[in-house]
Amino acid sequence: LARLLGADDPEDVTQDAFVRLHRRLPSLRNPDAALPYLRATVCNLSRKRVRHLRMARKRHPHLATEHTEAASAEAALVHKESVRELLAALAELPRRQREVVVLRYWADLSERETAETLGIAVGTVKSHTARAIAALTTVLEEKQ
Amino acid sequence: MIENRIREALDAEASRVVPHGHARAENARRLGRARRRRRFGISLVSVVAVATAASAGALLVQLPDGSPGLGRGRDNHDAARDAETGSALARKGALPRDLDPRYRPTGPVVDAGDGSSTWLAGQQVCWRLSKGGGDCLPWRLTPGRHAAVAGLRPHVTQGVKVTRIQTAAFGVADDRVKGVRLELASKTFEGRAGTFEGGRVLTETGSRRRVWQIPVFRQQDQNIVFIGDGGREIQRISLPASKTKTGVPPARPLTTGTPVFTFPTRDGRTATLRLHQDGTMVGFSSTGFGRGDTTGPVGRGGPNYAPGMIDTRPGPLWWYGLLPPETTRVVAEFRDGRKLPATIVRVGRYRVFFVRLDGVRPGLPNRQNYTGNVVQYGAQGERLGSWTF
Repeated sequence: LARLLGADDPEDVTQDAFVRLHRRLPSLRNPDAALPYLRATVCNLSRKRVRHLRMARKRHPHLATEHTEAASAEAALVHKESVRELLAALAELPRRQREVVVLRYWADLSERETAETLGIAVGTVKSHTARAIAALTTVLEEKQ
Repeated sequence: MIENRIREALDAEASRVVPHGHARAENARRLGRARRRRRFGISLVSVVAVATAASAGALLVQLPDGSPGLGRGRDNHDAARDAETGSALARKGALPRDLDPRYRPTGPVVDAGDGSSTWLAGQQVCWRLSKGGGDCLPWRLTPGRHAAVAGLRPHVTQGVKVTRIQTAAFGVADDRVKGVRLELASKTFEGRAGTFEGGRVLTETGSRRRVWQIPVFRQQDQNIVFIGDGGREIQRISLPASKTKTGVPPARPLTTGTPVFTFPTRDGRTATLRLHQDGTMVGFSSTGFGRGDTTGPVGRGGPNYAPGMIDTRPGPLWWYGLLPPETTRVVAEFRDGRKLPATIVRVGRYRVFFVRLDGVRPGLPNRQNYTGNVVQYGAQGERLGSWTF
C-alpha cells in the first residue's frame, strides 16, 4: 500500500505503522479496529513521506533525477508497456485521488471503508474516484 | 474496462515489493526504545513526587532500568532481552543508524571480543568493527550437518605491547555445537602443531542458529573441529592452505549510502554511484550494495581523497571523489583549452565532486592520447592536485 501511494521506503513506512499500532493497542476498544487503524496510519505516513520527498527534490534536483531515472529503468524491465503507462498516469494524479484509487481498486475497500481510512466523507470518495477514472481514461486515450 | 486495467497495474506494481523477512529485530529494538522512554518518564515523575514529599534533603535518584520497584516484571525483561542485546550494542556503535536493510540483525548482536560485533541477518552472517566497516557473507547449513564456514575476517588480538591482526574463520552452527577448536594438519614454520582452543561460540545458548569464530593460521592445512555435549566431536571441516592463502577480504561500509549521481552502464542499464559512511570508513559503490561493487576509495581511520573513475565506454567517462577540506573547486581542463567545472555536492560531513566527460578516453600522462586533466583548486586559486584523463 505504501509503495502504491508513492513512498520510496514502503518497508519503513509499514514498520512505523506497526510500531504505532503496537503502542495504540491498549487503547483500542474494538480489536477489529486494528486493521483500519493500520491502513489509515500507512496512508498518513506515506503522505508525509511523499511530502518530504517533494521538498527534498526541490532542494536537491540532482537527487530527484537520480531517483526517477533509477526507478524507471528498473520498472522498464519489469512492467509491460500498458502497465507502465497506467502507473505513470496514476502517479500524476492529485494525492487524494491516487489514494482513493489505490484503496478502492487495489485494497478492494468499499466507499465507506475508504472514507473512514482517509477521514473524508463518502461523497468525497465518490467524486474523487470519478475524477480519477476520468483523468486516467483521458490520459490513456491520448497515448493511444 | 479501465477499472480492470487499474487493478492489473496496481497488482503488478505491488508484486514488485518484496518485504524484508528479517525486520523483527529492528521492530523489537524500536519497541524496546519506546518502552524505556516511557519507563524513564514514569520514574522521573516518581522521583519528583518522592523528593517533594520528603522533609529531609535526601536525594533520590531513580534510573530508568534496573529499578525493580517500578514494575519491571521478569516476563517483560525476558521478552525484551533479545531486542535489548541488540540495542545496547547499537547504542555503543555496533550498528550504524542507516544499516543496509539487507544486513538487519535477525537475532542478537553480540560482542565478538576483539572490538567487533557479529550477528545473523537471515541467511547472512555479519561482522562489524566498532570504528565502522565490516562484511556480511552468506551461509548455508546442509541438512545433517551441524556447522558451516561462512568465510574469513580480520581478528584483532591485543598483546602487552603490540596489536596483531590475525585471520579468523567464522560461520554458523546449530544449537548442538558447544565449542570450536582448531587442529593443524602439519607443523607451522615456527614448529607449532596440535590443537588450539581459541574458538568461541558467540551467540548465547537457546538460539537455534549460533555464530562461531576461531583464529586460524595463514597458508596452513588445518581442520576446524566442532564439539558437542560431553566434549564429543560432532563435525570437522577441513580448511586447506589454499583457502587462507589469498588473505582476508577487506572491510567495507555496511550502510545504505547516499546516491550521488546516476550513469548509464555499458549494457544499457542505469547505475547509481553512492557514498557510504560507516563510522570512520567512507567509500563509494557504483552498482548497489553487494560485495565487489565498491569502486573505492575506501578510507580506514579517515577519508581517502584519491579520486575514482568510471569508464562507460563508448559512453562518457566520469571522475568523482571526496574533496579535501582545502579544495574549493574542481575543473576538468581539456588540452584544447576547454574547461568544465565539476559538480560539488555535500553528503553529510563530506563534499563529493563528480564530472562527466563526453567523448574522451582514459589516457596516460606524457602520452599523446591524453585529453586533459582534472584539477583541484584552493580558495586562493592555487593548484592543489591533478589527474590526467
